[in-house]
Amino acid sequence: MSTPEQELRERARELLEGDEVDVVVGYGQGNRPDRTTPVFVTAAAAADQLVLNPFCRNDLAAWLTRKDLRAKFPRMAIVAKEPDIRAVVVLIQETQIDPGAVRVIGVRIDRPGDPDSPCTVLPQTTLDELQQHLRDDFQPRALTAEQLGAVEKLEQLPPAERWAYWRKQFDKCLRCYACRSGCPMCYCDQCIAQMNQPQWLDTSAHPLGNMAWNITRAFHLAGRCINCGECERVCPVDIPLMALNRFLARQVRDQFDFQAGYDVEEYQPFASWKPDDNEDFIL
Amino acid sequence: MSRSSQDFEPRIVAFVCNWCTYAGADLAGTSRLKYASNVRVVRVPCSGRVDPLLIVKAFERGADAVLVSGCHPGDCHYAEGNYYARRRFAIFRDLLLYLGVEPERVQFSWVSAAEGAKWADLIDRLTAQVRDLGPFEGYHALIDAAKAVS
Repeated sequence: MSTPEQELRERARELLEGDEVDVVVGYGQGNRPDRTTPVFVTAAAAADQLVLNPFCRNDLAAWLTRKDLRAKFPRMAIVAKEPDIRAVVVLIQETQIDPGAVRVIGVRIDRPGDPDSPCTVLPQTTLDELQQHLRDDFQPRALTAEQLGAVEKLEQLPPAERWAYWRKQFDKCLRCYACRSGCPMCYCDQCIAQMNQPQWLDTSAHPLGNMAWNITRAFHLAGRCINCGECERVCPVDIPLMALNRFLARQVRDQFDFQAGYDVEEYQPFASWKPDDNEDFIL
Repeated sequence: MSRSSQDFEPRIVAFVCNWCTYAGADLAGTSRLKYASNVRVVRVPCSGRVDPLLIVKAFERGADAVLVSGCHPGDCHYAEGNYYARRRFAIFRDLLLYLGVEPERVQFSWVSAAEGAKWADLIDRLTAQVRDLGPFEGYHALIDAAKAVS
């Protein structure tokens, strides 16, 4: 009986030996026992670098849109946790990656970050099967009442207190853009935060620019965020970014009956409309 | 920045579509309808052209409230621009409210080219609401904080 980690390595080896992919992007051992680091396995013999444990945290789908990597390795496989598979689905939906050139080794980590969490390799290998798995098995575990708890708590506050809360949070922002770097959905060649003609967003880390940046980051992910939580995890000043992302995900779900990353065939909520969309708020 | 509510004149920025609301506002003018002068009209091709960042930008430049107004559903000059706008702003408005912006400060409306009277009424009503609410101190404080460091 092989361990899930051995199973993962075997899957990577098969893909590389069969010349199905040029690289397998996975997790390798980091510089501490509780850390992993992305590794790029290009030869079957090197597949033993791959690890699978509860500290596999990065959303490796962020590498799929990297132009430098794609130029070198046109056909890529990634080790993807369940939310990361959703990221792959959205990237295909948004025509950022060619579904024929990407292979997904799906893994499930029940409680990321918890040393005792079980880790398994998903038996499904094709994108269709993986999407089916997401819809049947993962969707009920995503965007749960528990995850929305922080959002609902904030909603109880009067507007002035909510404003004070977010003002305090955003004031901490360093504009390091780690949230953007870690996010698989933030792939623009030129981010609007770097545009200077015209300059949409103040680049200084002062309260005015921080507010604009954080509003923009959140809204650009509305209906696209796949709830991997990487932005919040990598934030060096602990801004509760997922309380924004989950709020927006819930609004989009409730108003447009849409959740990102479960079906490549579905239309993006903001790239489509229905005649009977809610317009209670329009005078 | 803080002024007493008696001499507070709200600054309202309105992004209006070229084909309906702008013509509606124009009709209000040519019909000699009198309405609050607190609104600054910015003409855009379509309500679907209004990027949420334009709203943020208006607040950054000191607006107390922002209005986006376009053609009624079915009337869009570009057939469906206002339908996209409707979805976008349903969520964007929710986001601003969630951040603690008062709902009166982010408004949306459909005003057709024939509705000069609706436009005049709307602006009067909106101005009164924002006047009661007072200046957008929350955002003004951000502007002041930025000035202090630059």
